[in-house]
Amino acid sequence: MNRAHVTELLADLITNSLDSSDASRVRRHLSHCVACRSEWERLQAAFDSLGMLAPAQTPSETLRNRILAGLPRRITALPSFARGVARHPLAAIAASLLLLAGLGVSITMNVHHYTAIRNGANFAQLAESSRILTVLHGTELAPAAHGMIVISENHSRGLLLAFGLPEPPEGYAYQLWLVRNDDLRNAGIVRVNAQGHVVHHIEISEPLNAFLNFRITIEPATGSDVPTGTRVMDGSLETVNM
Amino acid sequence: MKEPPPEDGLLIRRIADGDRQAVGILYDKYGRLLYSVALQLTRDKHCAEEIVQDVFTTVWRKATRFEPQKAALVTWMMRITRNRAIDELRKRKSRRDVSVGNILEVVEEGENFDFRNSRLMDPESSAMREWDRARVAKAVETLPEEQRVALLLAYFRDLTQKEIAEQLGEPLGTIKSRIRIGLRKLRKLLESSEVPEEQ
Repeated sequence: MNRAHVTELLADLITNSLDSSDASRVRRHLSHCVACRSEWERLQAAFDSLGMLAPAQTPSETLRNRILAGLPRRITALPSFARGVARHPLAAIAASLLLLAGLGVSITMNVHHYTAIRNGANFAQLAESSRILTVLHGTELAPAAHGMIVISENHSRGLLLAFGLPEPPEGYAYQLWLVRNDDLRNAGIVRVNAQGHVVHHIEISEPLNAFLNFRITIEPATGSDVPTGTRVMDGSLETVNM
Repeated sequence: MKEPPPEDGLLIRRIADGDRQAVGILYDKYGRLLYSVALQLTRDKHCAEEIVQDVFTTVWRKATRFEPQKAALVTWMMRITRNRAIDELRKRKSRRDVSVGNILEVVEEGENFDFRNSRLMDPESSAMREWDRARVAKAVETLPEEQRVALLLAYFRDLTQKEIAEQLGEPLGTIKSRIRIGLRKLRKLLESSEVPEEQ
């Protein structure tokens, strides 16, 4: 799909006037075309601004208090998979690893992953000594994606597990970034198997708990020095009470 | 004298850090606007309040994911509100009011509201809201009526281009052009910082 074609379809996408197949094609194109994505974001923002014209109405006076009282504790504000992780992190990690192994994830992983998955003792050790958890959510480009990063107790190693990630566009790959204020660290290319599963080891020269946010972006297949593509997953550091 | 509310960028950072009080301040700034959008779409007060509650809960949960370079915070919240309202409408299979006269009245009705008399907003938020509304209203009024109607039907009635074409008895290609051209014009007008001059 060339860029001009996508540009002509952006208004259709914004007004929900494309069939699901065309909408998917346009979204795929937007995931790696910076120019079209920028145009889409600007048009979408203009469309959204129409809400300013809604005649002003007054909600009940109790709404504010209801909203504040109803805010969930952060750790419970997670998708079902992650809620399980938060409640029973060790069991969830073990279940995830069993699930991955059962699904034959190791077959499509690179040698590094394969060795790690085969070496169950390393994972068990990591899980037992882990106290910090980051839950990752898919963005609108990967709404079904969810995952977590477990950080070892001494903060030297991490493990990313993710599910539901679509294959990256041809010629592109996913890349993991660790974020600390305006500072970003490249945490490597993330490989996705045919089922959309990811197992990725994180080892960098700095303690992982120094990074408050984690994100995965679409980058050229060889990787980038800094993020250049669309964000597909992100999350912030959580500490799990075990 | 009451302090002006913090800027949106600071508020969203405070919310990302777990500051619940910042959610209250954000509600004071935008709660009424979001409720108005939700009510205009759903025509159901109870439902509109539930949607607003969901929106602030979503902001609380996803504050770390907000990307200010993509859209203003209020635009992001309005998008969540509209999407949530549309989900609700589709769930209820509500019949949508699509009359052309009615959709233009939405804008006219909004023009008559005096935000300065609002009990729930501080003066600065009221002024900002009034300025924002005037800016969008001026930009929309600059569009030819047929483009304006098509865009408003798409936004406030959640009609696809095909549905708009059917309702207006116009060819689909005509509606597509109106929306595409109208949206581009609107974007250009809104991206210029000044309120457009009266024609």
